[in-house]
Amino acid sequence: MSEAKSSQDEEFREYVAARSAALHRAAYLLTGNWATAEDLVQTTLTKTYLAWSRIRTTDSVDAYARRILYNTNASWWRKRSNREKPTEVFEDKADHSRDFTEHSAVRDAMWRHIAVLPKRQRAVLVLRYYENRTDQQIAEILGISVGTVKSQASRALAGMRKRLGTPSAALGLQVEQGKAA
Amino acid sequence: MSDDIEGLLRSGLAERAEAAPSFDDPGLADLAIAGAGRIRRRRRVAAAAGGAGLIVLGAATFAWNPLIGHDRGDGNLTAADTSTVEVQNEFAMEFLIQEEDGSYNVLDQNGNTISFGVDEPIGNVYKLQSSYFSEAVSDVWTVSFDGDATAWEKPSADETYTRISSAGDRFAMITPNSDYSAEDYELLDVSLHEEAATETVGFTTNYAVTLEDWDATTAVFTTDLNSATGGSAGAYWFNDNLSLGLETVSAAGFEAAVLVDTTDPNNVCVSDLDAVGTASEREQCGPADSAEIRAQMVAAAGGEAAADPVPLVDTVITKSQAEFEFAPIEDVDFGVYQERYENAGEFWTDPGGAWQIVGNRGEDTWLLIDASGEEPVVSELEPPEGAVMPILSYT
Repeated sequence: MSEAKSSQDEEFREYVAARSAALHRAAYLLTGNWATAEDLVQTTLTKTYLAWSRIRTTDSVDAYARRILYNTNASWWRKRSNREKPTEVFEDKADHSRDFTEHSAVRDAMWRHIAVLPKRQRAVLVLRYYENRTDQQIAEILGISVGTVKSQASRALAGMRKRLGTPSAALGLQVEQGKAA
Repeated sequence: MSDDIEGLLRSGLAERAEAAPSFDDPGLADLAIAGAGRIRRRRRVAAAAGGAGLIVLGAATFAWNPLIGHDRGDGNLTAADTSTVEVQNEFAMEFLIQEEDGSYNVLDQNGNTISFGVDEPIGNVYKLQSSYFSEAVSDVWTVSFDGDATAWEKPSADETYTRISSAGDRFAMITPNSDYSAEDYELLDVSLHEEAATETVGFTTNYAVTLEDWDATTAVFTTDLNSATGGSAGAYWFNDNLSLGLETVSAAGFEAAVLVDTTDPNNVCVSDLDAVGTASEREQCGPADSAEIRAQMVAAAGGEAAADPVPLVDTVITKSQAEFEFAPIEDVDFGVYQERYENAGEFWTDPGGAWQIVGNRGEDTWLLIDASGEEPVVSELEPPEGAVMPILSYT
């Protein structure tokens, strides 16, 4: 192996060591499934390495990898979206840090709602509220218009509002006015 | 409640992500390196075998003659790889090339190179009516066809984004305000490039409406109409009740604004502007394909003396109705190329809808989906050396 290639590979290993956990977290939120998230990250890293000699000297390596991650996820569902039903229940590994307070129960309700969203809406929510991307950046990543990003986010939020209402309603704790004892 | 939901999403997604198990696999990078090596080897083997790929058909017909190799008698047509020269001839395709010294050039359809002396493009590069167009982090660049580059500073490096009119003669820089309740639009005519002028027109509209396309007299937006109208035709007071800001669109010189519903894009509302700062008191809403609404669009735009706004609106409706940015993708059976399609990270789509290229920057070959014939056809494109991306042309 040439010295230059060896050096490039070492740089790539350093990048993966530094950023793979963050890529896995985003992949999990997108897919809702640990195994698929791992596949998605592996594919993303393979594609990132294919472009490594070109992108390694730029400041945008991580931005490129993240774009690949979301684009790959999008391409996985683009061809399948018409035939695929939304995941009914996200795979949910035991979370021992979780206490069963009202707080976490509301978030569980939210997570269950996200699980049944169409994948494009889910991707928009993850990009907007986890990655803090602008609507334009989301549009570029997903290959849709800014108007579509806004409408998809709006629909997802409207659905959540309808389903969750207030946090207490999400728990079934809300007492209808006039019916309280 | 919206703020509550959005706050819940931010904290909930972060919490869920942080609860993920630690992914500390020291072999991950080496797996990626090995995977990339396999991909490269497969491509070399395929190229050595003659590069002939099985043509993949959505239906029985194969319609792009320059690609056809021969019919082997079993009904399966074969196709040669598609070369740079072929796509230059067939599609007038141009490429952004990165030279070994890191500089960029455009390789145009005739094989000429044009200096592209701009900051590193962060997105696609477009060919407009009189210049090339790209975005860098802090600026928007236009480059004339003889290589003269001009930078237009973005109001906000983080937030400003751009949109190009479908005619390719204007672009907009759009900047949301800090609480995402409104957006400022700066519209620039690309013919201004040669004068290096800074003259722009602009308006400020509610964040709920998004400019999709425009010409000299008509601005077309998408927004949620359905929640209020339920699809029923009639007069509504959207601008008045929701402070959409259409009067600022009028002040920017537009004669008409058309709102296209995001739920049912055929449901539109027309606002008759006076081009000096006043929007109509009410909007007339109804099916875009009805004679009544079409007549109102034409009248609002200024009658027969003005450009017909109907095709402009129809284009926005068609795009809004499409499930995919590149509609022919629904009819493509990728066959042996399925895996490559699914593993692609970049999707470059011709604004005219004739083709899409998928792949990754720096790869030796990309997939070309040719939608110019009766059926979409997939082939493997060998781009020119140093190609970063194809240029997306509005001309």
